[in-house]
Amino acid sequence: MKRVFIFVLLVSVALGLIVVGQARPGHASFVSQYCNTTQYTDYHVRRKDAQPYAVVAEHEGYEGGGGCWDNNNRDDTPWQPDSNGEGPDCSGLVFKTWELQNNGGSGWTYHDLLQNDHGPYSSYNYHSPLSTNPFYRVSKSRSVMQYMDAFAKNGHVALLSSTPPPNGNTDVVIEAYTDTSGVGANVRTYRYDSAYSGVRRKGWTPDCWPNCGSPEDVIVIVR
Amino acid sequence: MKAINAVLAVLLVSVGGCTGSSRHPTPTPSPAVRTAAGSGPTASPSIQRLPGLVLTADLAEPPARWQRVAFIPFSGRAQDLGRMTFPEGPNSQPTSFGVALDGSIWIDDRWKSRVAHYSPTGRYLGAIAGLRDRGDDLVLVSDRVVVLTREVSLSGKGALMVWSGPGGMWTQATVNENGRPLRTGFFAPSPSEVIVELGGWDDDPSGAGPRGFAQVDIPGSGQVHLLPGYPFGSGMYFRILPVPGSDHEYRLQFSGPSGESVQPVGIRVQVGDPGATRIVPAIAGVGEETAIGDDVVMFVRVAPSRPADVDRYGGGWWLLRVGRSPVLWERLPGPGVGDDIQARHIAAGPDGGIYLMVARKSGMEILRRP
Repeated sequence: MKRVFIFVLLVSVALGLIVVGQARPGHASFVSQYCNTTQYTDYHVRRKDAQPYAVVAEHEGYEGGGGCWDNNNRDDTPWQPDSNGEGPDCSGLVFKTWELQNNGGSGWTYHDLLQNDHGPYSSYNYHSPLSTNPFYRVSKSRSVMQYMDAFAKNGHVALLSSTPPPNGNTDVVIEAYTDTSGVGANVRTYRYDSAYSGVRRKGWTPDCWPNCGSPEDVIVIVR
Repeated sequence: MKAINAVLAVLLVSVGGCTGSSRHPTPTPSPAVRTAAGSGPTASPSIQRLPGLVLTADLAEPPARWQRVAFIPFSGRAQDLGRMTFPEGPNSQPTSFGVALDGSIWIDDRWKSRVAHYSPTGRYLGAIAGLRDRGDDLVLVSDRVVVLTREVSLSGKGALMVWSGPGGMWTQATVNENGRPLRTGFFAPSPSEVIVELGGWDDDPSGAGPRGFAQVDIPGSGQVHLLPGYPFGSGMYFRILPVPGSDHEYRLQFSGPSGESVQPVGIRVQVGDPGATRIVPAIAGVGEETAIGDDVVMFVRVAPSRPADVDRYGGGWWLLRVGRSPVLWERLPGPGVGDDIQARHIAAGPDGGIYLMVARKSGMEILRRP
């Protein structure tokens, strides 16, 4: 009988711990409390539209597999990188910034900041895209890569910023970085690291749109 | 080495007359380099134009053999270093190191928020704990350890932390230009003063270009004093300037009491087997200037720029030394794992020694050039 009592006691304690350990309404996750499913089809997306979107994510949190963040410049779920917290991971940031689609199509879908959508692509996909993917590899030459292209390796992907780098052997990238700094603009040497390849979203609308070719875009050279 | 010999057979061109005064450390080609055709020196009362250097990085060349002096594992134990990996994100390991005059090694142990101290052979001597943020770069200046924390360069959230030892404590320094707070780039090592690289992106990144190097008055006012370049030798300054529009060409700029000299340098990547080699479009990143006497050594990353070439041949690290000594262009042992955010790979040691910190899967390896 004594053994039975001890057994029952242990089971009760264990069940109690499980119950205590479960999320209570007051401890709902960031995703369940704040995130949404808002998105809409978009057209004529330019690089200069994409970069401000990525910049908004700066100083927000990092979440493995995540894709939902607000714009208060702080990590609302610090030290909880895998618990439905705030922020994208590196590939989620690229997915939403590039307005990619969950169906793998090449069209454009605007994702609300608070839409919890990581998309179907991992850094591995960005590093070695298939011909059917809506992005493709490009040379990492400075004469080829443009801002909002990305550096991708098996394990990480980062967006090239238009911010001038401090010196010739670096670039400024916007990345969901897994350290304490969350999403940020950082000085990196990815361009010169052979583990990284250059990758570009297909189908950007030129930054000059809708005034391409208009008089103000014609450069007059005075000799 | 075979590549060096092959280059030696066809390259060496006389640079007699290119040297400056005895006080002016002027690059001299070593067998591993050549001077570019048609780029002979031209006399100038103020700027001496030196012959161009062409440095060949042969991706088939094995790395030079450096002496392993220490290996410090990753673990949770006090004597070991911290490391963190994630399913997706750059690898994160100790980011910087320095070698003191006594040969002991200081490592920015970012995942334990401390600076760890090891003997010249890697025996744990202790650590300076208490950093509030994770270190991004570290330099040793006199008896001080100075740490740059948490991406202060762009985010402005970090700080320069100064520890004055022994028996000291961390104090935070504010870098400023005439009272205006300033964000800084990484350090440029100097044994006697704190030198930082200042980018042009502190307030209005779109309008300013690189501003070069500055000496920072810390501990003290934190006032920065802009310098003509990276100080080395006796009153000399050095800068390496990228050629606009190029991925592999730079200009080496030396200035000092006896004038100024400029030398173009091009880095090309060679691939293929002996007898069937070819040059491929390449990108080369040069940085981590480190003064060693009258020379400056630099850490150079090279890689093909075309994706297919990168997949096939990979890339590599090279060491470049310029100054009074002959030019040195030597392939370095590469990392065994990704070291995405490592800020400093090379450091100067006592007696002119050059040290290299390489990330391995299970720890950090410290090598010394023989």
